[in-house]
Amino acid sequence: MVSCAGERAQQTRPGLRFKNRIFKNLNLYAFTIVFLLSVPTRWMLISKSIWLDEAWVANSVLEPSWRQMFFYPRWAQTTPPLVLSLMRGAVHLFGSGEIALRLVPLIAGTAAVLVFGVAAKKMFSAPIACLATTFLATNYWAIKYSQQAKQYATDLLLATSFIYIIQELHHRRNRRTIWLLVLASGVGSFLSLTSAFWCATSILAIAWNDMRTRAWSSSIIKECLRVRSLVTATIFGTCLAVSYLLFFRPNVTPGFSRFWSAYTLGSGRRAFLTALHTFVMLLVPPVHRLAYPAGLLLLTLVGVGAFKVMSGTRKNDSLSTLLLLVAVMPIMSAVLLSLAKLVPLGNSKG
Amino acid sequence: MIIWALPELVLLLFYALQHGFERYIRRDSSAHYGAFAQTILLFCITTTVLNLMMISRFSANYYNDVRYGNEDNRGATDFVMQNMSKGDCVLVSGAASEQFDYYSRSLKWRPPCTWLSRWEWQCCSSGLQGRISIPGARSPNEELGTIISRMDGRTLWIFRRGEWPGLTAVMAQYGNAVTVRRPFGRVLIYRFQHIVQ
Repeated sequence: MVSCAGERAQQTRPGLRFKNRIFKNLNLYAFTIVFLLSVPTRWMLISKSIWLDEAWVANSVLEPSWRQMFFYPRWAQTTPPLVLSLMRGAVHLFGSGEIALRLVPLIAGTAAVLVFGVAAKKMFSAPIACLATTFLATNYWAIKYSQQAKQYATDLLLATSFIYIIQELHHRRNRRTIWLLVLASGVGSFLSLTSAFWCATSILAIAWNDMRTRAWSSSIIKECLRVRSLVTATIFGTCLAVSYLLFFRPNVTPGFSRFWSAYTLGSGRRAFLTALHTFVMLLVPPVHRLAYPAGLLLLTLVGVGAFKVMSGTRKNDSLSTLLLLVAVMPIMSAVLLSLAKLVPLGNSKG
Repeated sequence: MIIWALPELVLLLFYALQHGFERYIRRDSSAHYGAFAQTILLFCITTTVLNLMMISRFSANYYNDVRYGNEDNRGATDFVMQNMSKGDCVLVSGAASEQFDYYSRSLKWRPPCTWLSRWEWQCCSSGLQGRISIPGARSPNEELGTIISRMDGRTLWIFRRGEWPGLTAVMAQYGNAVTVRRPFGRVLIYRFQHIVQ
């Protein structure tokens, strides 16, 4: 019986190898098609008329001086300085039309799909990774924010970049990846306010990585206090502080503060429900009466995923620990900052 | 704003789903895997093609509600520019002022006479006191009355976002009748002319 099975396996091995090669290529083709199609999806409406929230960003980018752009006198400037600078560069090169203004978000939104696809492929089996990439590539908001002269597409790119770098660190553990993480921390602080959610994750990722190389003989707290983690923490913290104190804080108006804090988790009883509602709509936009139940179902599955990650981490499962770092920790950081009334989560801005 | 959380949510979602899929996807053992993987990959491609054909064409440009109409500010500004006469004035509401500014600059057009409303400003505008035309107005209707009284019977255009309930009736009180009312998505353009009695 055993020898018969072995024979069959030997006979089918070359066939299987051939099949695997085809599937491998098929995966690559599928990824390529999904990515390539996500480009025109984002490009299609790029020359549409801009709307209110894009208009004030556009007007600030078109201000004569850099100072007036960073501290726009007519609106509370919440766009990160690096996004504004890149948009100004695009306007300088291609004129002040809608396409030039939306070029940076378009590139960021499209690159986010690619970066996410590459990262997901290293975490999941190819079909699952392709499904996950398709989900992100076809998500309504991911598309819309890539078409708007706002900072949200760069927020998305930053999140996917951190996911990619941290999973690289998980798989390769080389110095180059650590430097890449330090670079992302520095640049990200000026590219997106949401980089603050990745601060704890980055430090823990390096500490955890160091801990694994020492065969788990050390504790995570000790590893956090080692040079590499401390350097990352210092660079990340300094860049975040500079970005916040120099660019964000001077732009905060009383009206903006009121608006901002009304959507934080610390603002009241309903805030948690509002946040949940926003997360549901993020997964499935309200285009149909069945969209909301579908979004709720998906959010429940996300909760199941988070639970599995927690239980897997306890058992030292590698993928679970990685997902704890790249998926659970940033959300937890955001929740904590929102409870401290620093970050809105249940925002009307999906 | 929470778009940054989307990749994280997707990872957790598919981590949960992976366990379900793994029942069907067995890499080493069966041809079952091949067929299932192929189906998934074809599904991905089909979904992306359908997405390209349907959702991406949906041009609502608002944050959390896809049912909001599109704001065609360029069309609206161009329409006012093409049809405004020399002595006419345009009243721009707070919520439309940045768009009007951007497109008048983009169309290289300076409106001959502009009133900037004190009303309907969004949460985060600043430096209003030096910019609005009638700072002392206590209501939109009072503001409108003051503007009409200073217009000396000239034509007034209104550039705003969304309807102004009762506008026609209020303007009739001041002896003006609506001669143009044209929507450009969510943006509305009105033209009011003085009725000579």
